[in-house]
Amino acid sequence: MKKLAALFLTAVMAVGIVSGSALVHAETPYTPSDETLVVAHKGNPTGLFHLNISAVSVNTPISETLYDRLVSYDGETNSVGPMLATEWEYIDDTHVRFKLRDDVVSHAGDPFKASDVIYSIQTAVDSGALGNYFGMFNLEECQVEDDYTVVLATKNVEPYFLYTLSNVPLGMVVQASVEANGGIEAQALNPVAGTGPYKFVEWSDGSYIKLERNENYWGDTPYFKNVEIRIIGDASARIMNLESHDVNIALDPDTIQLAGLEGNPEFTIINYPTSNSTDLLMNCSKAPFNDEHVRRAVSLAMNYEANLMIAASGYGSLSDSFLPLASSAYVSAEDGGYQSYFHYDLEAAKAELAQSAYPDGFEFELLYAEAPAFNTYGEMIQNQLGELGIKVTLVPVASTVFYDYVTAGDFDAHIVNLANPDPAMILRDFDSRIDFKTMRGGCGWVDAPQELLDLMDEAKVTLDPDKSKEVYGKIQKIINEACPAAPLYSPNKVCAADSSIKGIILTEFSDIDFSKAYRAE
Amino acid sequence: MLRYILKRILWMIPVVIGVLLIVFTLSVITPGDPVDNMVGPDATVEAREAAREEMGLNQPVYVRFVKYVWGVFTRLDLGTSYSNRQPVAKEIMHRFPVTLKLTLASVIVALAIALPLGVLSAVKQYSWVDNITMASALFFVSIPQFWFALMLLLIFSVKLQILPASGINGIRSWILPVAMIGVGNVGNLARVTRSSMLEVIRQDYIRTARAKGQRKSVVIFKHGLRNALMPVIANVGNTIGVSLGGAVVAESIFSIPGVGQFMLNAINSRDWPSVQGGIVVLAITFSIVMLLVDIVYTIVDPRLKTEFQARAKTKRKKGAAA
Amino acid sequence: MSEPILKIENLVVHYETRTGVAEAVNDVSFEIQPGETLGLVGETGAGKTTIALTIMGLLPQPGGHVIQGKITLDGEEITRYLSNSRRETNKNDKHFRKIRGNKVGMIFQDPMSALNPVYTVGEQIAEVIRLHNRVSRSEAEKRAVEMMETVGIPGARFNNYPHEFSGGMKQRIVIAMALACSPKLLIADEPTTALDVTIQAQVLELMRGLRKEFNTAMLMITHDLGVVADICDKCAVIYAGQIVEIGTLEHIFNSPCHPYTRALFDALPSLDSDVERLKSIEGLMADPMDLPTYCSFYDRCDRKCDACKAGDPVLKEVEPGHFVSCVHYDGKKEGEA
Repeated sequence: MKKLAALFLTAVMAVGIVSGSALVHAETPYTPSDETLVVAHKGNPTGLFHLNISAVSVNTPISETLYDRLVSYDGETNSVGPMLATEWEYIDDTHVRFKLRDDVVSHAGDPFKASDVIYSIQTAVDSGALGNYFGMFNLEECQVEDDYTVVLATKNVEPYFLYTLSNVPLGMVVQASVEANGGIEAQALNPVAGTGPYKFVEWSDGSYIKLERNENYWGDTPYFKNVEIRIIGDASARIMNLESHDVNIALDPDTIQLAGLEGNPEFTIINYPTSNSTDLLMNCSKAPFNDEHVRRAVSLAMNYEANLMIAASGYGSLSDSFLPLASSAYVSAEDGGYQSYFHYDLEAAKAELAQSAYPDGFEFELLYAEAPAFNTYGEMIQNQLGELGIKVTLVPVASTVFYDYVTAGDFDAHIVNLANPDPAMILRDFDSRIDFKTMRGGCGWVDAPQELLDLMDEAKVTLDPDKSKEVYGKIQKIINEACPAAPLYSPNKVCAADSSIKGIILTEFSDIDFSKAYRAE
Repeated sequence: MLRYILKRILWMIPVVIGVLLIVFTLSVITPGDPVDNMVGPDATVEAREAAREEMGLNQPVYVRFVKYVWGVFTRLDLGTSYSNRQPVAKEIMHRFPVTLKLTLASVIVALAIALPLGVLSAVKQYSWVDNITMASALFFVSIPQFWFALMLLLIFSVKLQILPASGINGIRSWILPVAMIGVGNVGNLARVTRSSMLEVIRQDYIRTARAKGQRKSVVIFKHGLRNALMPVIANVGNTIGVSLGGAVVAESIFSIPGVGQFMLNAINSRDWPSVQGGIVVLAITFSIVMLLVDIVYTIVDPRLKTEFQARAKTKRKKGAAA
Repeated sequence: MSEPILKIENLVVHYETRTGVAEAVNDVSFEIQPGETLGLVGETGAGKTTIALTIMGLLPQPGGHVIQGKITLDGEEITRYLSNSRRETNKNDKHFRKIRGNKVGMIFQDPMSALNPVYTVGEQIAEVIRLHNRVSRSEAEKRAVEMMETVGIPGARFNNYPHEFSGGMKQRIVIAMALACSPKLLIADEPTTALDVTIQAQVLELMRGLRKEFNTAMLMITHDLGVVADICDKCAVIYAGQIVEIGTLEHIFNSPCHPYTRALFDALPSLDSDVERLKSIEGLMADPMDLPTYCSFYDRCDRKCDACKAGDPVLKEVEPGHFVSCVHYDGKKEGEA
């Protein structure tokens, strides 16, 4: 409730504040230096232009600094703030008018105008990639009102529209720069059309990417003159590079290895909760998980706290709802007035199982794509359910094969990471009208109550934050009490850095933002 | 000799086709739709189909195979990467020198250490030098490369902080990767050198050389080592092959932009043209290495050259008679 | 009598192996005068080659030890360089290097394996020349070509490799190598054993000629009495590491005394006798790891008696220059029994 409200508040405030750009600039805690920031990153990007290549996580930290979005996301308040757009207003449920900054130029030096917003979105839609993001736009009704005013239209009501716009896949480019540089294909290797705080310098394939401070940046001048993103495939090696001071920041560490850094004053671990959720999805379309009591028993038999400590070294959070605490739609059991089964209570679990068709237990196969945390979870769950007489056979498979199984609905239960900040997208996994194939997953909850389906449809189109929260509260009551999925934990976004580096921002929507990082002794 | 080399080079063609056939088959039977990685899992159906069409994935497998092989041999075209739509040949060619450098450096360093060690072990058989050398050789051959790489990082970069943990800036940054790949080779080559040398120093011609009044060290290195080299050379060929594999690990851990890392990324993203391209280049490299090994054989051991020439002669005679 | 070129006195050589100590050479003494050829006859394992290797300082290491005895080569006592102390090995080896190939040339049994397969024969001959003479590479090559011509190999084949020659030709090259520095002593260890009979004759003929040409003394190690008859002036018969009979060619061939020597002759085919079967020597040679305290030949001897077991027999002179070690010849020649 608070979070969605804040979103609107910020929008309103932005209108009031922006009269001159100087006012927007808060006092920076540093003076820009000539230093270089070295970041250890897990993989070679597939390209440096997000609009026409598939969005893979290896591209994000680089695109984040090269391209600005229309709006920014503030993880502290879980709200959307100004970026290239200074203010915005909803014309109606599907049309939003954006006022743009007038002092923005691309790295190539061309000014950023309203037409470039449409061009960027058009490019994205044409690419056919990322249906979730780019499919929402109603391009025909998007229009330029003047050089610095643009109206964006969506096909449906999109409560998460502004959040989505703050996301890296919707970074903006300047058309003139793209074309002068030889078209969008050239952007992937030599990006010059972005307006972000850092400019591209050099990409040594598979080894490093060098960026340089954008001295003409409209916002705060970054502290570090140069950024080198070093590609180090192995997670342990990234941590070692940090320990040896070859790099300043290590992205995507194995949480288990962070234990070695904890308590070492030389390094800080930056730990940010997300709305991602790693869930045990039970296949409700067939026995034994078509039995509500079985699902509750399984939910109650798992020791969530112990599992989180062991599998993810505690870098995550637990929720009493299928939505994580960080989700904007989260409603607690207390507030929502529902019974939560997502805590460890062996006696209660036994009682539930006794009421089911399998009082003496049963056997099932637990499918998951092989990953260290999933493997550990699988083993822990196997042990814990054993207490109930439930025999679990673990089926770890390659990630590609995994989707073949779930798409075919060929599983008893599976562990999967549901990663979408928009709760409406998470709900799709519980929507019985979407089959396994379309969903590429889900829990096949064929006997979900009609009431739930109606509420889902309502949530999808409810813009008003209070109303939205109310609807999501009802949804959580129904789903949490029926337990088609048990939220194992919500993984945090984590990175490790030199203690002297401050101001690193990890966010759910934009991965890592190091343009505001600085060194403080 | 020239004819022989030419023939061997021609022989590479079926080798490459065979390798391609295997890789191609693997790419077809491996689960996972490459289109997922080209346009992302959330792409629209139209976008997926367009990508499928663009990459020719809608054609039957055998058509794709024939087209691919034809492209490889007529235009040196290794296809287009699924993930970044760049020509694979170009991508590989600017990475290949790095991998080759890394591999050769590690093999040369390994030889420089292994040959003297192996000879010393053989000459001082069952002495403490021999025992220590062979025990450590066994140790270094057996340790997993990946673990060893991390240990090197831990010791030299994290604890001692004397060598860089990643990147390729200057000679110092080559030390750890070369050591990582080379150390297993040292063990292996030292063992081969030792056993071969042990056999050779029992030969009559070694006694003959000693009976001439030649220094023992000269006898061992001039008369012994050159004869003992044959199995070592055969092993160097294989070692280069193994080291090309080791380069994959080294490149991903030490952030070195080589073919190994490229292929690893490609495998992870099911970018089959890049995988195939990498394998073709490695297969050709390996074939050339083996050819070079055979040529070095004939230089080191004149018996092989004569045998070869004799065979060529009889063949020509037969041809003339027919 | 002039100074002998080689004088061996009371030489005892043991091999220490993992399973025990092998007494390979037991109290052997003999001498060779300049220009003279001594044949050392015995069966395999009798210690012939060990004697040769001891003279060259090439006893197999580790394991080979000279326990006692004195070898004087060209007036210089060389046994003092045989110390086994590790520290002195290099220094001692330096002395021996001046002897090997220079004062003493050696021809090995198997020409097939005695030449290094990866160097040309010319290089291998030139190597020994350069080792002992301060000459340029081209001068050494010139001399090597001359040596090749001397042993009957066309100098044009200087750049050929060993595998391009037949066995007999290889042996000629080995001989050329051994004689390249005009050694005072040539040790030939079964030089013809590995060759065809016709080639054997040629090689022996060559050696005979060269011996004269170079005025080289020779120690001819063989198990073949025919070779001895062909080329030697004196003959020593060795059994289980001991010389059992030594004398001039006439002594040994015309009046062999020791039962072993006689048995050797009996084992030879003879054109003028009607014996249908050759007589073989029954039994095996005494195990050098476990030699008896009495006559080593006792077990196989057809004339054994109780006196034989009383102790180890010593060499006794049965006629001037003819020595036999057998209880039956106690200082004087016995008539035919």
